[in-house]
Amino acid sequence: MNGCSECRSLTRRGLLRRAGQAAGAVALADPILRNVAMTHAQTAGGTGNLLVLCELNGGFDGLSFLAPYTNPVFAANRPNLALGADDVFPLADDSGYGIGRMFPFFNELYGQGEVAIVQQVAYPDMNGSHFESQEIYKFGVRNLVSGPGTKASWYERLRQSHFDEPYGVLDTRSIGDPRRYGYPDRTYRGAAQDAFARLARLKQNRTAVQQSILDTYDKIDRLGEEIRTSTEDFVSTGEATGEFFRAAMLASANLGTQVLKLSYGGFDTHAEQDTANETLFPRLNDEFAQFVNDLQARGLWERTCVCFYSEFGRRNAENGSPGTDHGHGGHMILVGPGVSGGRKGQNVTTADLQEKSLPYYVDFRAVFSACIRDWLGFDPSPVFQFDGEAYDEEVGGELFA
Amino acid sequence: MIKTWKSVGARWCGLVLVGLLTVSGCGGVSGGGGGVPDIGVLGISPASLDDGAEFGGHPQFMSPYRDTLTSDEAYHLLRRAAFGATPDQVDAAVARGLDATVDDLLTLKTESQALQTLAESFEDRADERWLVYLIEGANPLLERMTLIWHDRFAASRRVLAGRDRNLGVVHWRMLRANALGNYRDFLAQLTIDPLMLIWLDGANSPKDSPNENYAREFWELFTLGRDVLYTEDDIHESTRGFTGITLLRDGEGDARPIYDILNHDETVKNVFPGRASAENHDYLSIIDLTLEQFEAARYVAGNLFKAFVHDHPSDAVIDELAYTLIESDFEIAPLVRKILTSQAMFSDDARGNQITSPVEHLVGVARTFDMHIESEESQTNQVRRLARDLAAAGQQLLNPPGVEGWSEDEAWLEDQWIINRVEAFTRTMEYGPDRTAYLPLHLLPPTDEWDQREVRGEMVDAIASVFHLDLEDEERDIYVEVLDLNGYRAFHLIEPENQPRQVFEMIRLMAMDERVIGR
Repeated sequence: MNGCSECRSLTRRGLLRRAGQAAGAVALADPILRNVAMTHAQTAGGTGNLLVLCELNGGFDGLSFLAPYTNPVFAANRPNLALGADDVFPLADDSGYGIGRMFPFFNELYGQGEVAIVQQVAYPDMNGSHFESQEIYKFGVRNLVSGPGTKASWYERLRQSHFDEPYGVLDTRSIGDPRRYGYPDRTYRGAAQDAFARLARLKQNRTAVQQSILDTYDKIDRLGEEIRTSTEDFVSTGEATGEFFRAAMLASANLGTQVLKLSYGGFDTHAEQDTANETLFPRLNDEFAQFVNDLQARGLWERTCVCFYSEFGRRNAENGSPGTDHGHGGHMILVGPGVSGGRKGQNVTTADLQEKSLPYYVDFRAVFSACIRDWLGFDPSPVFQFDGEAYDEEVGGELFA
Repeated sequence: MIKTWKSVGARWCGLVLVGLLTVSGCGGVSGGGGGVPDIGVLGISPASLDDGAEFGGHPQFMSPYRDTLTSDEAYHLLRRAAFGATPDQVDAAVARGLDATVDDLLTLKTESQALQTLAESFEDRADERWLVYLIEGANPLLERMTLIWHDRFAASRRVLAGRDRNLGVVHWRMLRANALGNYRDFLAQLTIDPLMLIWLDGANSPKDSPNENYAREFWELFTLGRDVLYTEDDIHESTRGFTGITLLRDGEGDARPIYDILNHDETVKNVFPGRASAENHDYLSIIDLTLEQFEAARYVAGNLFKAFVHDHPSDAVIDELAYTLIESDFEIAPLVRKILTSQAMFSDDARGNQITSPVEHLVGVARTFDMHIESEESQTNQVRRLARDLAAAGQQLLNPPGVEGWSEDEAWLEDQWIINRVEAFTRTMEYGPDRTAYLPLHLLPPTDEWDQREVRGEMVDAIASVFHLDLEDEERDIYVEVLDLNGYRAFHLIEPENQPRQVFEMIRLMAMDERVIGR
């Protein structure tokens, strides 16, 4: 990456940094640095818990996660793809349903009461486009045609209303590898990244607009430095990889983050679904398991809840490929020690399986609202309540203990 | 003669033109630089103009600036009118003069067949198609105008599904066809554009329960400005006027608009009762009525002035520009010409006051470096990746955040958006007359000199000069250090296969200079 740490310290930058650390008072005088110099503190009015949003892109097949494997309609609809008794861990409280065998970690936590499966979730008036449906989940509004709802994601709105901190919301996709966050210089010795910072601080006598550009560059560099230095020493208890690895680094970075967003892709299994899932499901399961392990090792798991969701579910019947096409209702899965485990929403019935896709009984915003209210300790109404955006708050059960 | 010239004009006229007899152009009544005698005829090259004479235009005067531009002035003009310019293009502008340069920018050239075919290969992905023309098209001012209108008449293709997907391209073509055309015709075509009809419910406005969405935005955002002249009652009335338009979807082609009198509310509507009599309005007569109001011409004038010049035009300036528009019966090109050749355009107020959007920034640098979409990789993956990077930087073409368009200037300075702009510069293609890959070698010292000590400074100076940047010594040293691997090893001693990377990093860093991302 950026060479060995001794070499790093020999750069001009390293010398300046060490000088700065000696003058801690200087750091605290800078308003930006003061914010991040604090160790994680309780935000006023909140619980200080961490909500991790894991978006499963493409349309995650809820029926392959929690399968009604004894239901003949399920098998009839999917002669090739339906999960059978050998493919699931039957639920202790209802042997008619089972968690797919490719999710052993989820099954283990379900057994400990730490997994809440909110079944048949979506939004009214189905939109089968990935692009738009993902935006509906991202903005938390059904009507995407402008208005206050589409200026920023719902979790950004939450941050702006309740915990306006520089690292309040972090997205692994936009940060990339946190150990390298900032000006994207991949050269040996980070010459351009260094120069970016020095140039921003060097210049005088600029117009107001030009100065605001330079101030932004300076901020990117300083905050970037903070994220990099907070994550550079992260060591996993195992072999962490993937987006959950980045999420683990950011969660451990002690930056006051309350919402951590990441995504896994590839779930749009229109063809050869069984082959695809043989890669997709274990990867998700294993990388998530490592994430939990790493957080447990640092005493962070207790205050964490992970929410898995997808832009829609998949059709009840398989197509000729064999795969499944875009459906409507899907399952949202909450995992964490603070979660009240079990099945929520509406259990999947024969009638549901006889539809083209699982219907929706629970609005996704009700689930997110419960997370905001009961896990993060904030009032969710400024986030989702807009003109023309009414939805049902019922989630069919208690999600948090 | 020198003593009678007024202050601003006299400043440089007096210094340089001692002995010239044709004073009629210099030091006009208004005190600005005015037109000047044709210096070329008298054998004085533009390079001998005193530097203090640059950008001497008055920020609130629309009278023409002098025809002979300095190199920096020409670059300034081309950045704002055409995103960027190669050194040759800047020289040509200086040689031709302001009038001829603006004429050339306003003259539409036919795009090559190869370029059209390349653009069409991106099918319904209108943002990728547009990028082809933005980077290599022959009409950069047209593209800039199209971008300005797209932001003003903002509509997003995210509401399109299935067969309608191509309507994004249809909308974009309509914008380009009208961007330098007639504003009245433009509004008519905009109103019945299929994407617009879906976006603002125009096609879903039956006469018995009409939808106000389009009527409201038409005045509030598109033609008059928030709360200018119109009242809620006017909106109720004009909504009824806008009825009658629906979308016909048949056979294989794109959905098309049809005007059906049976769907149109045929009653009398009372729009702007203080200024007009009631009549049975349809969408065309509402457009006409709107354009009869002076506020409409002022709105266009003010918006175009702010897009090119600065954000504080006086009322007199806006009025003058509004009259230009009206006198040409709403032809857009004369208004654009007047703005681009004005004193205000070359005033100090028009410098360093804008932050380019991600698209303008990238395209500007691409054009300055004479980038071409030549190789197969460029023509497929690189264009696509660039479109994605620009979206990640905050601007996906044909997908604005809402009907109010994108937020300007400082609103572009989101941390992650800025970082993603830097990433977007990795989508290199082919540069210069020899179509060199990865680096614009035609702007740099020849590669066989890269093992010489002086080449480091020469390289930095070369790129700085292309961007018209005056680097202070400390700045220059910092860039040289980038070449030198952060001071670890002098550039000319690095292995040849590792040198291009350092050059790329230096160039990319300079492309983020506040005078390159800003203008």
